Order: sequence, then C-alpha cells, then structure tokens
Amino acid sequence: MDSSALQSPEMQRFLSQEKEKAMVNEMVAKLTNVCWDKCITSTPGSKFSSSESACLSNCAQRYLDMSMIIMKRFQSQ
Amino acid sequence: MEARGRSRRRVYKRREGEGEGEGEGEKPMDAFGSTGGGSSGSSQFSSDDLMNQLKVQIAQVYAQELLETVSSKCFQKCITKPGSSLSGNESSCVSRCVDRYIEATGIIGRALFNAPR
Repeated sequence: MDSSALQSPEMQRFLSQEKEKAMVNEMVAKLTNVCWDKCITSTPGSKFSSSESACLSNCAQRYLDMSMIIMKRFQSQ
Repeated sequence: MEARGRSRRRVYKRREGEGEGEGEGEKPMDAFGSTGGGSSGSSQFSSDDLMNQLKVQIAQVYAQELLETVSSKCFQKCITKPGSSLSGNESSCVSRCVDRYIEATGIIGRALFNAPR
C-alpha cells in the first residue's frame, strides 16, 4: 500500500465517516454507562418500567444540556 | 559519480561472475522498479481492502467494549454475593440484564438523536 492511497478522497471520506460514527457510538456508550447507574436501581426485570425508560432518555438529554452549560462556562472565562 | 557506479557494477559482476551475473544483477532492479510503478493500479484494490479491514476491526473493538461494560454492570447488579456456583436466579438475572442494557443503549441513542429538542 503506498501512501497516496491513504490520501485519496475516497479514503478520506471513509475515514471521516468512520470517525463520526465512532464519536456517536462512544457518546451513546458513555451515556448508557452513566445513565444505567442513575436510573436502573433495582435488579433488571424482563421489561423496563415506564419510569425507567423515561429516566434513561431524560438522563441522556440532560447530560447534553449540562455539557452545553459547562462549555459556555468555560468559554466565558 | 558515473565512474563509481561503473566500478561498483564491475565488482558485482565479478562477484556473481560466470557471464549470467550481469543479467541477474539487473533483474531485481527491474522488478523492484515495476512494482513501484504498478502499485498505483493495484492500490485501488488494496484501499478497498483496507477499508473493509478497518470496519471489521472497529466492529471488533465495539463488541469488546460492550462485552466489558455489560459484564461489569451485570456483575454489579446480579452477582451481589458470589457463591460456589452461579445460581439459576443469578444467571437469569444476567440474561435479563444483558437484554436491558442493550435496550437502554437504544433508548439513549434515540433520546440523543431522534428526540425533538
């Protein structure tokens, strides 16, 4: 493999796509990890209760809100 | 410079000797040169190969990571007091836990990317 193949637009597109996918996946994985601990307090049943699933999706959205606030806070300093 | 090159060739000739020496001495150079030039044609194929290989490896890393997280989460939840063997209760808890963790991943993904915000 010569290095010009890595520079080809096709490869660049592929790499940036995969990078984006990886970032999304990592974000979801991390939030699942955090929100699982917050929301699933009992032993897991055969189905999520409605409060558990609502908690999970709230947790993810609030985490994003919080990240925004922290980012703004850092920028203003 | 030329003189040096010639004198080196002579040395190689002498080492390889026996008349054929000159022809064999040139061949590796030609072969090397042609693979260098021809790689632009074959690199299309090998970059496809590389992409597929990358995809496979990325998928393997995801699977590995998921396996590790789910193991640690479900061990926390289900095996609270490790006994001499896994009880039926514990193993059914683990299988429910795995299903729920994957379901939770779906819920989080939807909450992040499909929810009206």
